[in-house]
Amino acid sequence: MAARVTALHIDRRLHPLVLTRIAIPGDYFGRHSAAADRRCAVVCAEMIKRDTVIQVARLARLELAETEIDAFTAELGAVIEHFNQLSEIDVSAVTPAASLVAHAPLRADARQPHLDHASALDGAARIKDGGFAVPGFVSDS
Amino acid sequence: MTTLDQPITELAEAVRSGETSAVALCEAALDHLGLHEALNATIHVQRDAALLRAEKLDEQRRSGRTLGPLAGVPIVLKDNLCTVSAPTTCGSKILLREPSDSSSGWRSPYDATVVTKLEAADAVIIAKANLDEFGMGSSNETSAFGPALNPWDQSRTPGGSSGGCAALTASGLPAALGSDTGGSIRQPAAFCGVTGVKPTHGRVSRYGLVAFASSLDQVGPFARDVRSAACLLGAIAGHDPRDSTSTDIPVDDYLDACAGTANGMRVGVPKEYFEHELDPSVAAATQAGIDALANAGAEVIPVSLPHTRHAVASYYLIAAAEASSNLARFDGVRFGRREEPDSQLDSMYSTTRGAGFGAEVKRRIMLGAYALSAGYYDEYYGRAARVRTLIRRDFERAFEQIDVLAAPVTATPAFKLGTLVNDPLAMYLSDLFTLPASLAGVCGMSVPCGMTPAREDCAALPVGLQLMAGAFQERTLFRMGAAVEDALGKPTMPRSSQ
Repeated sequence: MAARVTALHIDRRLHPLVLTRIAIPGDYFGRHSAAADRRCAVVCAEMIKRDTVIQVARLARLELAETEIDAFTAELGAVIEHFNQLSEIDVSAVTPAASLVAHAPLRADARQPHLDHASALDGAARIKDGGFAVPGFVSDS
Repeated sequence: MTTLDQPITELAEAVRSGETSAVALCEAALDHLGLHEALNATIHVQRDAALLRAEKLDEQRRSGRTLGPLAGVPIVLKDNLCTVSAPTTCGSKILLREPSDSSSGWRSPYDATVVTKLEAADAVIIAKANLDEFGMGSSNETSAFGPALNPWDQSRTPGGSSGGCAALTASGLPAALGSDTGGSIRQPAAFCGVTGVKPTHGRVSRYGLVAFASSLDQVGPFARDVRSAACLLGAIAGHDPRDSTSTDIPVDDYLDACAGTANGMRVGVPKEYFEHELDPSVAAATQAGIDALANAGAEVIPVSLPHTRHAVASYYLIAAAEASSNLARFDGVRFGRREEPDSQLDSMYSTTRGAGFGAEVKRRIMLGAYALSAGYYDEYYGRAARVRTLIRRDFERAFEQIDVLAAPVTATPAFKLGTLVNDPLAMYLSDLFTLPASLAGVCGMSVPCGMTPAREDCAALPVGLQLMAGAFQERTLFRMGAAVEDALGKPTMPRSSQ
């Protein structure tokens, strides 16, 4: 905990772009009052580093050139720094709006006309034995 | 004599009555595209298919069939709408078999529902228009085919992402269909001086629209006047069982709505949109649009949308998160190009995507993957979705006391190409005025409301007034849009197109 408290005093001007905020729920520190639950401790930490960009690119299955990694490290850092303005807002009592769909009826669970097999395969770079062909990914051994 | 710049209803009536033919209109539109090649606004022109269809329509008319509401009207589609008759590229190299050949683009095995509906109304699709790659951009500069240019000043952006649609409509074609995720119809419509409509999410089917951010994407019309946009939206709106977000709320008569007046309507002016630094000529034209409504008998009421300033962060987190998921399908297996540096599946995925996607698409996928990754989900995506609720509530509260909101579409007129493309955050921030309506899921329109003064170093540029109405209140939007247009007049055409 001491390290986290210390982190609160990092001077953001000395750490441009690599600092962001992590909201720690109030009860993280053992306080369980409703007020404490709504309150968030804001902690600064280093986050968007070159290694982070490489790790996220791996997750997203994107091969990046070295120059792209450097550029994205700076650009994503600036954008995420802007995103952190959202941590100013108390949203503890707000329901998330992932979708705005209303009055969208479900269709009947019945067989519908569909693409024929050849049409579905037509856009593929490589097909084999009536299916999409990809490099092997299961070892024989 | 029938000319392409007439309203859609007049063009269709001229074809129905035999005053002109679908083939004549189609040929004129194809010639127009040839004359305006310098705008780089098309990715694919389907000359043969369009002429064949026009001939068929003329033949049917001669045989006694009464043609539909878009009889013979030439229409352009943004190239993220799937068509069987032409390749679909999304402005991306990843959907090209041959990296420098747009005709090698992916061929969809089915038509988008809006394409089927256009054809059912007897329209003729002539071309696929340039766009920011997968709809991600505000200047058309992220297209793999280079930017479309603004016909009012070719050193400037036509806007984005539906820049090609806006540029072609402004240059003199009757209409186009684009898509709007965070402003991609309204902003280019404003920059090019045409009418652009983002319908309510769920009003128009997204089936066959290549997905960018599914909770935000919506197909909508560009046209040279408000009534033509109403006619086009009427033809494409409605329930589609193939889109699970499509609603079964009845479609209103939008053209009829244009006959209403602004008298007695309550127009809300959100103060937060005017606290931002506005270009003086944009501020003056926006005020002229609001004054036009007031002079027509509307009551102008100041309102507040207090969470407006958080729209950029909320939108770019939600849209990037959805994009990172939606674009996972482009991996070299089912569509487009494939790179196989070795015999490993993982490297095929990452090399194909690394070579196929442009910088902005990669940036958004990275942002989305980061925002959704373990440990950050609640802090980023979860928080953005909650802020979206607050923004939506702002609109709901405002619409308790007003019928429509009137505001600027953008803070500046069309900016110079190259100005923002290397500063992603600045580009994102330029979308501030169009993002809130997208997040709230309401409908919006950009209607021309004036021009900036011509200067020695810059031609006069169009300015759009943004009208926003509640969910499924498109009738109100068209009623007020038509009132603005009737008061201020339709914009002229760029000198290069006159």
